[in-house]
Amino acid sequence: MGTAIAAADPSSRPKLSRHVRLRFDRARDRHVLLGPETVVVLNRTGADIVGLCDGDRTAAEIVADLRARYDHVVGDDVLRFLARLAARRCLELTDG
Amino acid sequence: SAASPAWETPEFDEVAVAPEVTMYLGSLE
Repeated sequence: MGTAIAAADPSSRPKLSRHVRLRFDRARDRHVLLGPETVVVLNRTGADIVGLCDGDRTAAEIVADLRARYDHVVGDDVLRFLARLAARRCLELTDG
Repeated sequence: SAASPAWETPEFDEVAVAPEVTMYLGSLE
């Protein structure tokens, strides 16, 4: 049984699902995604990634943008993170 | 120039809550 973690295609264009909104939660001092029955609490880099998911940028462009902000960005981290959020229906990954 | 912040692995924690709670949180901003 494999344990590989799915990753988003670099050419996909991620965007927030229609029923999900990105908000800053002052109580947690964290950005969160608000869904119909869930709150998804993001860390700093996670919030930066979601903030770039406008349906226009590709996943590869998001990685490139992050590399201008952070040292030693791991592209696979970003692609796996996008896939995990898509699996929870927080994001939609449209074809490039 | 100032050094860029170090990369940290993006993570999230999912919390199940009642629908009215997310509606309330969404209304705050």
